Amino acid sequence: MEEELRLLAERLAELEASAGLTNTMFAEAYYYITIPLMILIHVGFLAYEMGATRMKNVLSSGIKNLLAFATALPAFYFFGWWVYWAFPTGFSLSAGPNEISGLAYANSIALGWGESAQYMGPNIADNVSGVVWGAFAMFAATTASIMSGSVIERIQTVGFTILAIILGSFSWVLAAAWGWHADGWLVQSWGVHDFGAAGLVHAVAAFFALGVLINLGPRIGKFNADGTANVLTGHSIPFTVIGLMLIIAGFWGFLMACVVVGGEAWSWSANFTTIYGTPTTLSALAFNILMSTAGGIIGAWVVTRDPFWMMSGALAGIISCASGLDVYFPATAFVVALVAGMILKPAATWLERRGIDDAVGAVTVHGTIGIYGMLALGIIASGYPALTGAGVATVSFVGQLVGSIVFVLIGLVTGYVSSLVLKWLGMLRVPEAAEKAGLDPVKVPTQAYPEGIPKSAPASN
Amino acid sequence: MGWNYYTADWSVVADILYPGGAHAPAFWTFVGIVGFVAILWAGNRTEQAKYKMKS
Repeated sequence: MEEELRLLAERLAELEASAGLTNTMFAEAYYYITIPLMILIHVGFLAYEMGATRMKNVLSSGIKNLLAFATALPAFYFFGWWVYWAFPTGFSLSAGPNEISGLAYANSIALGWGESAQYMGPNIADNVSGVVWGAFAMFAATTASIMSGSVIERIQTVGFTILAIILGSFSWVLAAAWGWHADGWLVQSWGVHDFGAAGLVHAVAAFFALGVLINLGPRIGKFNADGTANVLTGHSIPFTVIGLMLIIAGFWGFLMACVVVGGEAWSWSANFTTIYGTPTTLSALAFNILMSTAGGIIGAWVVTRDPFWMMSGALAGIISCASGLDVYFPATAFVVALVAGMILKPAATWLERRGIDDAVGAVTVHGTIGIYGMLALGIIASGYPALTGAGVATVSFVGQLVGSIVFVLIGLVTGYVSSLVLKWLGMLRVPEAAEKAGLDPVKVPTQAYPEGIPKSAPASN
Repeated sequence: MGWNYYTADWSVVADILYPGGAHAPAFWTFVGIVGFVAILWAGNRTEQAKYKMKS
């Protein structure tokens, strides 16, 4: 009998070890898969931005977009990941209540040298650091791509690259440390809840872009002497619309990466949770992402009847619900997104009338709608626990408002100041002669369409 | 006896360059950051030269 019990105990231990290994490999594969899915966002931004560009600047826009992706990633490796773990409690760099933040903690896991290098490179005893870092690095690259479309056709390449590095490895990361980390002071003190990063990724990137646009100025020919705006149509609307659809496909990876897989030593619990430790499921995401996509498209269709704005409406729909994808009822998500789709075009027109030439409407889609989504959650989900644990802060309109103001300021101030410095250094805007000639003939060693594109007939109405 | 390739002590070099070397992460991180900045600096010089040619 004793021998049988011993064998059973051994067998049980083996099964537990096997189940644990399977769970670890599932967690590793889960985050790994989010990375190529999120690369679709960049495929989409590339197509979207190039389509929205006039033919003389197409490849230049493409180069700029590729560099946003390529420079945000190493910058996030060298600095950004450390910022996320060092800053949650504010500029004191002290440890928070969960003891997963502060200077000492960041130095121990997020630097590429010394003891922490074991977490910043291949390590067969660490299945998770690389894939979670990879998912966060893709968020960083996404912020740079959001800014990229706004500034096309007149920004210098290296100047833009420096802005992408600042945004991708500092601005949004600071917002994430404060509002997307269980030790973040915005979460702990104000109950800020932004599950899918509507504020801390989308709004921060958009308001960073607005800060840059103020210093950069509009494209030549965008505004008339009386202040009225001209439409500078991109060379390929189909390219733009398909690009937007690819961004939406990539969003599934982005939002999937916002979930914390359960059952590991670093997990909040045995089940899926948000980054704040509150419970969620992929089912919640499936319901609400699809319903918000539909709501956004329909809302934009009602107001514009324009495929560009309808696809932008799809993005706006998801962004408007991103903060609360874990808590909304699907019909709520549909209505929140419907309103987002309807206010999209009027909000973009309002901004344009203030002399801001946002070539792809990114400030509105990601900024105005991101903040609208943050505030909507503050009304609809008021009282919901913002993070896991007893006696924690709850979601409130005031808390979401404070979080929104902080996110807007982080984006706007860092974008404005850094672009102002570049302007003083003569690295922000291309010279007038180059802009008029087109950036491709000035600095790109190949042609986008060496055989040209046949022109389609004008619309009859 | 002078320096001999075959009998020289390469452990210091391995310590810096080889992936398992104790100082390799710090060395490559340093090279990466310096290289990154140098490429941006050189890229900006080239870009400004192209604008100058155009104007």
